Amino acid sequence: MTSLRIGDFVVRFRAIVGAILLIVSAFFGYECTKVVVQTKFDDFFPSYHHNVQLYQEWHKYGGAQTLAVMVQVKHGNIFNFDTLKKIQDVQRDVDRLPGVDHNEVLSLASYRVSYAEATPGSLTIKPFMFPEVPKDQAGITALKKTVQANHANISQLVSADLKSALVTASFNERGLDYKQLFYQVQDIVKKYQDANNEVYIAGEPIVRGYGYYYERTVLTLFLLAVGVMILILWATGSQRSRWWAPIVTGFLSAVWGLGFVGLMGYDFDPVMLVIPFILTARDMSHGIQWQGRLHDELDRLGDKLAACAATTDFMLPPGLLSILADISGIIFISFGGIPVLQHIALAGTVWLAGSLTMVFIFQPILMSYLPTPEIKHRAQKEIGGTMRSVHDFLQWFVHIPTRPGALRKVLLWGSCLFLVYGVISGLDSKIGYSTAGTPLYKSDSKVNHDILAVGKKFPLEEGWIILTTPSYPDKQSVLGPGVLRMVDDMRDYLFRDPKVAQVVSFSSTVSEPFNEMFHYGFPKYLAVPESVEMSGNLWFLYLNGSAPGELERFISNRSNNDTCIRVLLRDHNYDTLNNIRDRIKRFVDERVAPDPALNKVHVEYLAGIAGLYLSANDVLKQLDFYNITFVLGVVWLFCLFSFRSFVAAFMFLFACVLANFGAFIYMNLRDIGLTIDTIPVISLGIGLGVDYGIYMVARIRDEVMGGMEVDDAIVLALQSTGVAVFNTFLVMIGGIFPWIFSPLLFHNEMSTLLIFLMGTNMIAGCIILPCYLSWARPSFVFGGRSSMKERDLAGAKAAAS
Amino acid sequence: MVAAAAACLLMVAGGAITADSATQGITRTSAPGWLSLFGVAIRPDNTIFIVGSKALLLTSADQGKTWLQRTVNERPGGDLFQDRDLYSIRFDATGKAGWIVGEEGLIMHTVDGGDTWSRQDGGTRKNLFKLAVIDANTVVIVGADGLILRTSDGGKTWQTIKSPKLVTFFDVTFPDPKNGFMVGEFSTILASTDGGLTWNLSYGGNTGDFTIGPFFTVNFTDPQHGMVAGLAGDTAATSDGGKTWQKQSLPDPVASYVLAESPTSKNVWVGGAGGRMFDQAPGGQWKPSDRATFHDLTDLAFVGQLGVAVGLNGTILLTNNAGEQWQAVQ
Repeated sequence: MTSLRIGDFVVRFRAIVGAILLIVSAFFGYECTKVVVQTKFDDFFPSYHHNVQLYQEWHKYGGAQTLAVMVQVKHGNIFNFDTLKKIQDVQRDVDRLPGVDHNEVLSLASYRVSYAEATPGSLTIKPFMFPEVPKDQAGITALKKTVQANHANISQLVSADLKSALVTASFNERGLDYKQLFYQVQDIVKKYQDANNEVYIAGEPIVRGYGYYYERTVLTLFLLAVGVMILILWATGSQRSRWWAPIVTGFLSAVWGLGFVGLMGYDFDPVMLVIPFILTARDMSHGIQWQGRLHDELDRLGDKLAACAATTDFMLPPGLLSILADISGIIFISFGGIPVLQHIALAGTVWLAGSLTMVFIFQPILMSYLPTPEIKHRAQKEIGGTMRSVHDFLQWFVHIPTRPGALRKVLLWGSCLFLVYGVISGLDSKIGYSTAGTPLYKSDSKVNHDILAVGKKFPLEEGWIILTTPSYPDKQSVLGPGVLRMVDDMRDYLFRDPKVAQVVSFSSTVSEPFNEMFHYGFPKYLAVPESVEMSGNLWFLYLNGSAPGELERFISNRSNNDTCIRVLLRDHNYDTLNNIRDRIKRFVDERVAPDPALNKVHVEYLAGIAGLYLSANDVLKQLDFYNITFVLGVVWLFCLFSFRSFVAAFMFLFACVLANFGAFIYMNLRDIGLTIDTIPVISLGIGLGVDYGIYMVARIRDEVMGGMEVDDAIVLALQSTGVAVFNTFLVMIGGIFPWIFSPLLFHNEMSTLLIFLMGTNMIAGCIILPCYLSWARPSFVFGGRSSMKERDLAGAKAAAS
Repeated sequence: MVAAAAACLLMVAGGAITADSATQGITRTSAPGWLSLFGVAIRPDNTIFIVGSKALLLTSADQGKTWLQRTVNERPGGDLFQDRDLYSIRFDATGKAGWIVGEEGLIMHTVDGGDTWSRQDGGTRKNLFKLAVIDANTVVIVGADGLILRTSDGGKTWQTIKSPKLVTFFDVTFPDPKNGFMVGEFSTILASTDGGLTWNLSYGGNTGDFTIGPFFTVNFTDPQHGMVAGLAGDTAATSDGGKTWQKQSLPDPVASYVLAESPTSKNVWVGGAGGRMFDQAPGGQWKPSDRATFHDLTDLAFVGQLGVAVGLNGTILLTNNAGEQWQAVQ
């Protein structure tokens, strides 16, 4: 009864309701102007996760946003004046970049990168190449020998083959302008690259910065995709006038969604442009469905206002159901605690809810004011030749579900097998990154080419282990021999993992080499100092001989009660990160915890960029599982409520699992993992095609309730709603297809995934479910209320009165 | 406190009870690059033994093609607790009895050619840098702060020998069972003529002058002819059993940490900082050798044509032609 009144209500109060909706749209339109396209690093990681909190607490040990600029020679090695000068100049230019942490700019030319030298009666600390590059060959040869002799301590800055040198820099994340940074770094590359010297860049700021580099291309693709959608919409719907109505409502839904983004002050990552596009496509999809049904009702009722009201009543329940499924698909990702996902989830929810008001409230109002959509007269052509074959095929096709036989059995059993395969693939789904470089871009892209080139020579990912201890001179302070020894043991243990490229600690980088140098450079003193007093003396020697801020890379304060151990990793793959965490845990459990001499030492891990990636992986793993469970639960519950049937609820659950777990098959085949970037798209995809089945089954049920035989209702639904579903499918495919040509692998993979998802959803909704209905004839199709019959009765009553 | 006391008791008990080394290990083709190698010895059957940081013991029975990596169980606890640096390893003439010395007074002993090792108590926690095996029962160890240890019963008991100079000693050698020499800080050279029971100052030892560098290594080809080397290319030679020493210098002023004689070519080799090596034919001049590594070399051993040099950052250099060519084990 309620649904009947909504359609009438909307039509009766169309002026005021329409005006309210337009005013709200105008407000959101104004808010749209506040949308800022930018990337906030903090937003990508779960703020409640231990690793993120640890990183924030110990932010004084540097930023996780590290830029790496590698100068590599084609011929010879870096020990020539030209290349060494370039290294120095790059270091200086990097030090001028916006947002750079000047204490964290390191290279062979940095005054912070030094070595200790023993001579009879003295110990001196010298920077390798500061303040000047050696000008003659003798000086360059001496520098080369010094670097080779001390290579173990600067292997993260000069490659083992001496052909490459790295300049690294950390940035203050807050307020970092990735776009400006990216283009300034590009200027550095252009400035110093020449015939013999190649310059490569890597690091998180560059990966994010490339989003701005492709901003124009992505925007062009966005507009192209919208254009293709409109074109297909015109091609499939222009036999009726006012075919463009879904574009209007889709546009207004987008205004609501974007306006909410502006109102809340969320930032908009350029790479994520694909998400609003999907949301808009969803809006248009519902609009097309609604418009298709309006045309059917116009043909049936012959009255514009009655058709608008009736269409609203018929379409609102399944529309509400499918939009709730869409919303449930995206809202749950906000529970992961990752701000960027929260923003996408909340904005997406408003966006989709905007579609509910725009398509199911505003579209009837719009159509009620516009002239009645008329069938444009076209010359009737005799169907023949190819068209006859197509027509015959379609006739055969729409009867597949109702025709008992081998094909239907194959479809039903095949879908069961596909579902099993999909579930197995889902259980085997990968989390996080599975290759070196960034999966956002293609493997042969410049960004990945550079990352791989740098990664071949230098570790790019850094994880931090933080030790908190009593203050010096306690034997368990960070300068205590027992603690230094434990740190060195940890270094040894971590090095046994081949993915660990370097472990940088005060113990290995300062304390032991200084102990050695303090004892004439005798190698057997390359060991932990024998007493806490000796350790304190060496610390003092280092403090006095090194540049300001250099000690703080290892020990943050003069009380010597905390230290940072940096684990440099060869990649940031899921297994690499998990293995290193497991390894640290085992070390703490078996080496630190049982040692009474370390009972005041606390080991916390893992901060740094590696820890942040790990935090995201932890959340994504749980999030994906809970998200799917939640969406399936919502679909089940809403279908149970809507169709008042457990069979219907389980039937839609089956269809949903069938379609969406198929996505995991695709993801596993393409080696796509769940990452912060992919999960919103995948989550949106979960609800993306559920409505196909819902619209189809609702139509079949309505027709059966109206007195039609089940098989006839199925055929009719396929010929009417099925066509609308197919049109929707075509429009969405058309809109998503151009993204395949995006320079971003992320867009490419996600668009293919979405096409795959919608294809499986369409097959499930238009073929498998009707097959099941025709074969099993579940009672819910025959029970309940017929909206159509009730509306006809109500119409008759109204006419009689 | 109770836990700490319990741990201390365990440590003491572990030292007394003797802990067998792990006989299992992992096979590899080179040494871990993050570990330091400090000592090398070659048994008469050409099996190579290398010791290093973190209780590392590497052995190769195929002249360096493959290596068995083991961790010497030098104290109670799991493998992660075995972290003392092992500084030197030597066998007796039969290759059956052998000792390893290391950090914090560590002495390990084998009677089965290095398959198993047990701990011996030298009564000190000072670093022990080098040892000389006179025979299966008699061993002299030198170390930090003037420490000299001697056993004449295969290590059952260790006697602390009084040093005439309280300086750290880095190397000791016995060209015959009676005559021994050791070197240390302040260019100190001590000599013994009674198998290490007593030691006398042979050279240097001016502990008031901090500009005098140490001698790190000593080698005697016979009781009369020997050589020492130290910081900044300083060397000294004797041809009268240590009565007089003639100062010399290497062609480059680099620190030298090890001297050894090739038994086949009779050339004396010196290795040191930055992987530099020089050799000297009898009566000849020092000649630089092609550099095979840039890491400091810490020990050097020859048996026949086979020679092995070890150093920091997992450096192993091999020669199969008495040093004509050295090749790094990668």
